[in-house]
Amino acid sequence: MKDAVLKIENLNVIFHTKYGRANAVTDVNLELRRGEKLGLVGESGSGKSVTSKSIIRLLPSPPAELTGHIWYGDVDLLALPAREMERYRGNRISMIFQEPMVSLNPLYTVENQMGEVLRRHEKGLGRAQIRERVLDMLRRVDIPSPETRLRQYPFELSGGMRQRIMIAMSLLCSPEILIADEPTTALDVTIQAKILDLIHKLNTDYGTSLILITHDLGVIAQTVDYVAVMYAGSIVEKAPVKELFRAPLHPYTAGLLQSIPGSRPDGEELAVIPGTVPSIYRMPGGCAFHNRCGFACERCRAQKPPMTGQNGHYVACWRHGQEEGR
Amino acid sequence: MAKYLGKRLLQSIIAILGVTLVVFLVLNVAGDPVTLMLPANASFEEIEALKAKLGYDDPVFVQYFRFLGNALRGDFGLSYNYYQPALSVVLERVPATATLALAAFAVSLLISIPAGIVAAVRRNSKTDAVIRTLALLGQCVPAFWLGIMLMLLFSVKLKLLPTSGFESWSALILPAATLGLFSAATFTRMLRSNMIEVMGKEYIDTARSKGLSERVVVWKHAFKNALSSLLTVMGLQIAGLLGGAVITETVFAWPGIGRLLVQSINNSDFNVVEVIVILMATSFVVINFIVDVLYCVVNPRIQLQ
Repeated sequence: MKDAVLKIENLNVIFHTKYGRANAVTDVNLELRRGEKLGLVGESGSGKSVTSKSIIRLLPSPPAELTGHIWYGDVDLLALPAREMERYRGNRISMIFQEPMVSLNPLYTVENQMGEVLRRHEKGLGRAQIRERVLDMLRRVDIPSPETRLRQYPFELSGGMRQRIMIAMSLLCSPEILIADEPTTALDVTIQAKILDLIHKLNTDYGTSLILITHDLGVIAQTVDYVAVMYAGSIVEKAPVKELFRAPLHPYTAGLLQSIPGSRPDGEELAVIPGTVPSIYRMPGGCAFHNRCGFACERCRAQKPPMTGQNGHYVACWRHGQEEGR
Repeated sequence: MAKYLGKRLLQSIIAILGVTLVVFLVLNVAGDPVTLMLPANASFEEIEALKAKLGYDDPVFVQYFRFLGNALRGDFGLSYNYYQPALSVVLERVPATATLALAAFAVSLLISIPAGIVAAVRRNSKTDAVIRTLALLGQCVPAFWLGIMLMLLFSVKLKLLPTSGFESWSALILPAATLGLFSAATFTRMLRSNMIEVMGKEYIDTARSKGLSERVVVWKHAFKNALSSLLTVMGLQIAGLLGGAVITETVFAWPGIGRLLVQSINNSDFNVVEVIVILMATSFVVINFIVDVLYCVVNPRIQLQ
């Protein structure tokens, strides 16, 4: 795909810990197109956060060992020296995090922390120019009385306000890619909707490509264009969002969709996927989902299914790999 | 902030008053100064007469308030040893102790800040292991042994530094190192663990995700946060350095209040002991108060509450 802004090829992340090797992410392949909103869904521990942090190389290594390629244009981000990587972070690729309450440094004012990004990436800006850019961005994310906010410290602001500030901060240098790791999980439902609207709007206005990580399928349905479902460190299914909700192919995806409240007729109990996510220290052989899957057969236990599919809808499952060919 | 500091100031004054009361009572219980002043063969009548003259036959609380009133005017009585006002005997020695304590504090900061940060940033590396071991040793080694060993090495064997004395700056190096190494070890360990904790916070990820250099992430975003919780310990350590100089001063014959304290206890020079104990306690309280003020400066949250 030639309009891809980011291409993840065979990403593997292994953590070398005192308990042994942990395969946090296995053979992830993903593509993000210009202006696209990509959703990464999965349970806790499915490797979605690790994948997203790998893109801007936020994982401490050691213990993390990253292999594969992450192409940003024709630059392999994984091959860059650490100092070079700093030039991309916060500049071309930005990230916002799950916990707005603790994502800002408690000891510095909003102006200081936001201005820092510009001082770093756009050398030569004067104090007044920096302040103007920061104020402008605060207005764009609908922060009331931005002049007052400049002088405030994080503890003086609400969670929703802090997340807006994080978003404003991440967009200061008009990055091509914004990675949002569960940006609304820690917020009230009403605030959640507003933050998602904001992210949506900014994506449309600036043409920023978005990677949205969440465990909330409701959020995915509202926000993104394309979804990748992760399970135990691997992508099990990826498809355009409507396609995925209409016709999920992987039993895990189907299980997830059935466990959304409201997905069943009234009075019927919600479906639950039996069992738990396998430990990353002891991955089962074959398909990682086989011991929770109602359709598992011998082959699932023995061999890991490859990713197959067409028209943008791909799945890693022996039940589908056969019929649809490659 | 003013309200908070006002409250802390009031607490400080109460603490100092408490100290004077305890010191007064303990020294009153510990011995009868009158019997010490008179020759051993003095008659009962002579003792009673001197007691009445000096006011020692009054009820204890009357004596305490008299003592307190005098103390407020700077009158702590005479030193039986030097035949001078006890306060001036002590104050003469303060600059020597203060110099030593500040030099030791500087030594400890110069060592612990880089060591603590490097150990935390390169956690679980060989460098970290070496720093951790040295810090543990530094905390375990007693000052009198370390002092003598340093003296043996640098003064006796290498003949680089004087064993004792107060005249030249070079004489300050060994005592300051002896006294500072213990604090350095304590700070290093605390700073390391604080830094490790802070480096795991999400705002450090945020700082990195902004593309800031590792130097800015560590010094601006992590160190300042780690330091704010270290301030209390630092305050206690400075106060401890002022008081803890007792052994070091004795080993290096440093003419400070620590050595004076030891001498005065040996000579039953109670008024001097009284002044020193109150002075040390007061410096503890004052330094703690200063730490509280610094907290307000460092942490905006306290500033505004």
